[in-house]
Amino acid sequence: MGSALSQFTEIASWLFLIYGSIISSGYLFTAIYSLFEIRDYKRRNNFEDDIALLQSLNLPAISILAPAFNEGLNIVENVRSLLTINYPSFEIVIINDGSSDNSLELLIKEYELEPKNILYHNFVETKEIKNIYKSTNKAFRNLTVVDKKNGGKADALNTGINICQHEVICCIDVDCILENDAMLKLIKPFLNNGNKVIASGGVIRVANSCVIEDGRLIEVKLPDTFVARVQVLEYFRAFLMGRMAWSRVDGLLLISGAFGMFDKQIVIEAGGYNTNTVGEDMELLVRMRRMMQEKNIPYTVGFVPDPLCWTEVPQTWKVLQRQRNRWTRGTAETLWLHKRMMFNPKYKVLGMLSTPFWFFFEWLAPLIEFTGIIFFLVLLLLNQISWPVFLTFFLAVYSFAFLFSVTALFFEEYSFQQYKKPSYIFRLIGTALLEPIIYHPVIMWSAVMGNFDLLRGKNSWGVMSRAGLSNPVKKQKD
Amino acid sequence: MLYIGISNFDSLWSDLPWIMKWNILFSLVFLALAISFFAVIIWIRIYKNIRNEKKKKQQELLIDFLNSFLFDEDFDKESQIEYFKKEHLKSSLEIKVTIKEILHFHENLKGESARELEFLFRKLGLVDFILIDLNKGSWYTTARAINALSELGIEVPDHKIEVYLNESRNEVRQQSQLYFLKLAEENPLAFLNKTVRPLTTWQQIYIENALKNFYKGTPPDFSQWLEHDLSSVVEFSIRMIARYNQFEHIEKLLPYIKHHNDIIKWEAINSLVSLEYTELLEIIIPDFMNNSKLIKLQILEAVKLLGSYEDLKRIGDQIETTDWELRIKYLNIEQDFLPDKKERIYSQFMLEKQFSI
Amino acid sequence: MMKKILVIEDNPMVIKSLEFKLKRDGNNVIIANDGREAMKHLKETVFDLILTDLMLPFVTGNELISYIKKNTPDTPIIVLSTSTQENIIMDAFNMGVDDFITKPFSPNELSLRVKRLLG
Repeated sequence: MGSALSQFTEIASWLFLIYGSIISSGYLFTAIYSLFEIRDYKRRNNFEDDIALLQSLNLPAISILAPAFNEGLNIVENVRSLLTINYPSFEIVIINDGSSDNSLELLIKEYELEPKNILYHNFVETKEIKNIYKSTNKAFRNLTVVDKKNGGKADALNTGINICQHEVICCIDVDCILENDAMLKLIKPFLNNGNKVIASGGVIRVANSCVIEDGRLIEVKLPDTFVARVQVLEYFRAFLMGRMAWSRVDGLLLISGAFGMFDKQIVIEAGGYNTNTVGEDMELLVRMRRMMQEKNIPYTVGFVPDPLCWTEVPQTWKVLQRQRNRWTRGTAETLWLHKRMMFNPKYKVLGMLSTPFWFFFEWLAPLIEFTGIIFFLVLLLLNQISWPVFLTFFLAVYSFAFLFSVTALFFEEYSFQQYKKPSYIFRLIGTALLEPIIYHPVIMWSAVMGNFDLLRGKNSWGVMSRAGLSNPVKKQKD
Repeated sequence: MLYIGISNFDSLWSDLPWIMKWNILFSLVFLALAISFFAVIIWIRIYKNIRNEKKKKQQELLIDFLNSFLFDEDFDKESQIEYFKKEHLKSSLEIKVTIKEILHFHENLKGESARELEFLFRKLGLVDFILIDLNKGSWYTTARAINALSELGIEVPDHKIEVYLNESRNEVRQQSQLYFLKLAEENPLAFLNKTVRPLTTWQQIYIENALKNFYKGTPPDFSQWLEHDLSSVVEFSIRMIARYNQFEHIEKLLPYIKHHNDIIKWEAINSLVSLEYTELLEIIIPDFMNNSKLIKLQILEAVKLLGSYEDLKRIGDQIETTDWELRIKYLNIEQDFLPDKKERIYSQFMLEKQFSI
Repeated sequence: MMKKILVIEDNPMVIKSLEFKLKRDGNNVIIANDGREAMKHLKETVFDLILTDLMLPFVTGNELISYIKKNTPDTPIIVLSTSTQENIIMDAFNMGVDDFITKPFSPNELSLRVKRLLG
């Protein structure tokens, strides 16, 4: 009995070790790859002047689609700030997804809107449109507001796709804060002909505690709450390291729903956003890529590392858990829907690298970790723990996690350095030291629960109550 | 003492199970790496902060200096330039910032002020630094140097830049093309004859911009590149014929509206529309059916800009009822032609839509 | 009498040059670095001339123009913009601006056009 158990322990330890080493080396490669990609990007964009771009007639016109559900708190400022984007030709389409607050009335009043008969076709099926509004003021001629019955974010975006005028669409969250030149930067991959560009994505940054006035970022600050601060690190790791490297091998599977640009015809051809998943952003890109590969059309997906889009992340544990629960379900649903791609050489990088990576390291990792903890508890109950071994193992894992965060921090320092105050570095290092102990278990647990909820058949978004981007330093609008 | 300590440690270490040895080893490596990264971060931060402080100072100095130099008639140019050169161009950072700032001014100004900036740039001896950069060899310094040369109209022997015309790096290639363009007295696009790599849309935008804002001579005859091997060059030339109103080349454009490449075809129709060549409609309307959607939309656009309601109607029955994108475009144009029937067209469309569902 | 000119522009280099040049010409120059600041000035003061960019932070140049035309329709407006696209220029004239200068610009020419509108 005793020897059987110790043998089992030995095997299990080996398995955990191998899994851990593969993950770690994966991360190592990602880090190295992104470093080169970021360096290259910086060098390439050293001396471009925007004047030529702003004067050009050859930049494709962009339709910016922003779904809004009960955003009355800030919608007027957010729209005004969207209107100030630096780009020669664009329209803003706000899709009011059946808000129960006064968003629509506020917009109608501020922007002098009136209903207009606009011809459109449902290239993608959506919930019923009640009215389409345009402004009577020439200054807002590029603003369209669509009022529709509630159908969720994916449905709202599909409505925008049906109604908008231009061939390149940019899907954003209405409350995200865009840098002035966000569109000029994000369109660039579309202009480097070669393979057809079907989409391009950008980096998302954490807006919590930043000074924001009238929908514009005035000063970058480190979030006050620990929960949000950890996400600063998480976003560095995900965007500056992860996606940067995936983009270099053209294996990106996800363009964040808060900020991404797409070729409209390809989106329509692929069927638009899927309204039956909570991971509609990832699912759409995977479906588009799958379609292109099945049709054998050479294509690519671009990625731009500049900090272009700032968004509010969950500040409380409860909301955070709901969000991660949802992300887990989204990932699982997408992988399940496209399971045929996995390990399928026909899909090249996507089949042999991206989907397996997402399956083993994004979806499976929390489950394995969870099993590891159960395993540990069982051993503990049986009094079989070799504490020295356990402690050194824990130390190794912990120091790796810490190293990974510090590397991400280094990338940020090296590349864009947004957190300028010296004290911020120490706080971020402190956050990185605490994260594996305090934050990570919660994330893991949410992922486990997400899978559990998925099996139970839960399919709701989980309301993300936003604290509103207001903060005490915010000046009052006159 | 020490000897005992080490031997103790030795025996302790060799007694450890292998897995612990590995764990400890890994932890130490990771922590050492983390600490060195941390040190680097602090170092970068201090370095960048000091650098930014100096940069800002130099920039503020320059804004005043350049504005006085450009607009203040009482400004003693000779002595002030000498003074600036002696006092404020000492470190390589100061030089870098000065070059960048003068370039920035130059991008925003034209006419006499721009000429004066070019004069100042030479007077400050900054050309030498650009030439050093040019010869350094890494692609991004080369690109940056060529960019500065062409922006300020500084000439170097042709062969120095020519080697980069077909560089594999997009950025270097583009800068060297712009160099030849911006410095040309005549025939600004001669480099196209030596180009063997496709022009990206991005490059086309910058070439067109430089043609309009820098080149002062007579516009080139764009039809000479209509037969170019690269379809991107052909596409560009077709577009430029229209942008420069070279009506004399309309005849030469006509074959391209039958081109097998849709992008070229699209460009040709678009250009002929801008040149207001109304006979175009007689060629493209009867042929409407045999085109891809991209071209069909462009033909409708042509009718909208050049044609009449009668022309539009000739397309009407060539559109499939299920081709919604074309139908919407068609109806929008119809609404433009018949403003008083706008409402009726709309309600009829909505009615049809309901029935088709 | 000194003429009061409101310059609305967000590029610090352009601001400095405009301020320098226009002050030399003997004008009273007030600077607004963005659309919101401009809106504040416009609500408080009546200007003899307004020089504005189109792409501005917080409030677009178009919205400012529409506001000026609604409240002080006689104030001349010059647009100083990067845009050279015909439709953008046409839209600006349709909204009632008096002149449209594109960047890169010649400070001397700009100063002449300002004088013409003020005179």
